[in-house]
Amino acid sequence: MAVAIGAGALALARPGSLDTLLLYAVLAQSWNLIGGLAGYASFGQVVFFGVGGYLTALAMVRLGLSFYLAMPLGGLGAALFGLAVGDLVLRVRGLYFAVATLVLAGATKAVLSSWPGLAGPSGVLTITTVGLHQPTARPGPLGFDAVYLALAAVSTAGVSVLVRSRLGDSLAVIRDDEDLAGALGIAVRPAKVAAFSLSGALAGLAGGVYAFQVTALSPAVLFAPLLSVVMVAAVVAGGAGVLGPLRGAVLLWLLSAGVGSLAPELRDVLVASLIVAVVLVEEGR
Amino acid sequence: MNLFFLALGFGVVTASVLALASVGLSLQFGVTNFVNFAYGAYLAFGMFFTYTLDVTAHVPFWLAAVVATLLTGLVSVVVDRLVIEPFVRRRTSPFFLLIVTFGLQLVLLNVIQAVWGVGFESFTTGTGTPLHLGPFSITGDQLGIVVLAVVAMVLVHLLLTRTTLGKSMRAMSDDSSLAKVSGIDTGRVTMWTWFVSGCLAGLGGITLALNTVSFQAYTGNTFLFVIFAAVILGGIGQIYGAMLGALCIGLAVELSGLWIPGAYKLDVAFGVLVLALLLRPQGLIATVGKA
Repeated sequence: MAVAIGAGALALARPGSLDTLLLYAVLAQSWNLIGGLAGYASFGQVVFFGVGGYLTALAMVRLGLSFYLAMPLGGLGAALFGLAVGDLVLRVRGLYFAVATLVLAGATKAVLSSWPGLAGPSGVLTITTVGLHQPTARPGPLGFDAVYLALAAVSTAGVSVLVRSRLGDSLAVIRDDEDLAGALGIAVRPAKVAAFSLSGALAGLAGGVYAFQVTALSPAVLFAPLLSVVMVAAVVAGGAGVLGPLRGAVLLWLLSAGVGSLAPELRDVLVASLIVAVVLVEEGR
Repeated sequence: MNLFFLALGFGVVTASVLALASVGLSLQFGVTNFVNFAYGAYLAFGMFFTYTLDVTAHVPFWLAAVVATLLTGLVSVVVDRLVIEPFVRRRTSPFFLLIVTFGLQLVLLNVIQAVWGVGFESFTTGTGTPLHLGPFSITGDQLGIVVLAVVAMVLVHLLLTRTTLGKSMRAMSDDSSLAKVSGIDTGRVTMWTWFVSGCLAGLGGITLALNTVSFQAYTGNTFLFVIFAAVILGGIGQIYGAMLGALCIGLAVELSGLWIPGAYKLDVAFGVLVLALLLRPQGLIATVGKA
């Protein structure tokens, strides 16, 4: 563990490696909104990342919009998607919610994989970054770091405002005892759907930036299982609240950067194993 | 009408694949009381063990499938012993076990990719020419899938109703502590449950690969949401419910192909699940409380 963290610290020196940390931070705050604050553990949160990513790319490729307009549109689209499906999946709690969200992500990925008009015959949607037709000049590594940093800051500020708000209070009661919340006259369903939709917006925005960063998009890229797992694990490892998800993101990033630099080909296996180990440590406390 | 019978035939085949996989998942949940999110990887083990025996070692396909099924059951037991049981022994909550198996899915899928690569493979059986049985038209492979599923379901039924092991499984499913104080060796029953669950996952994977013809490491994982739809529809942990759920989802998926583009047919599974959640949410929540 110490070796991994040490190697991770070394990776800090490499320019452009911060993007992964900041991406993890945004995703952790996204999961925090629904899994941490509302107590609804979503195992399909990656669906918002995918929807936001595809919408951003489509707005850039089909409509020729600037990235800086397309990304907020992607986030908005993901939020609306959360609004539309939230009312359905949030009717069930606990294990059933976990499975329902997993099924939602799987089904959405299946639609996007087989949508004839979405990408060319290759199944890969590409954002043009060279030539005259590129909608926005692609920022360098530091540019992406800056966008992710802004997103992470906005997410964290948003969460800290939210926990102090009326909605935050409602969510806290819902998390502790949903039936009590209903009895107290809290509008339970709108509060839950709002949290789900906001969490969707954050993941959707992150998906938009990621889409522009990788440019060649397929469902396998935007619905990567690793991201799914990282979102859940960051909050479980770091705790909910405002700063907990950031702690979790840092921990997971240090571990993944560490094992990644030691054994790149085994990165996913090791990260996943470490996540299991982190859960073990958390449970033991 | 011809198209209808064609779709009906495919529906029965898809339902058969689903039934094998769903019963394995539901049985394990019933006995151990937590969901295995890594289940999709077990399907991949079934596919790739068969692939190695069939394509690389030139073993006859049916023998390769039998051995692969048993090997997948063994993998399931080993993974349970090495990874999951230590958590269970520490009385880890079902919610944390969910996260453990969620992470485990990533580990297992990456192990499969490391061993067998990331490309698409297929078995040596080929697609075969369609057989015409009355109004139905299916390939020999597909007919085999249906027969296999029916035989497996009858065996599961006999296991649960006629054997001491099966009765113990049902007892643990009803009340694990009561089963334990009644003198049932719950550790042994749990081990056999993982074995049977793994075997059914392996069979589900092999039949899925036969039905889709080409497959890769993530094929089973991609199909997982359909399996969950069937399991939830039947009531999670309910073995016979899983069979019924598989039949409903399988038929709904294939028959929907008559009206909507085939590319979207798997999403009908999600539609059916949402409908089920809307129509009887109280019945679905009942088994497990808040995670």
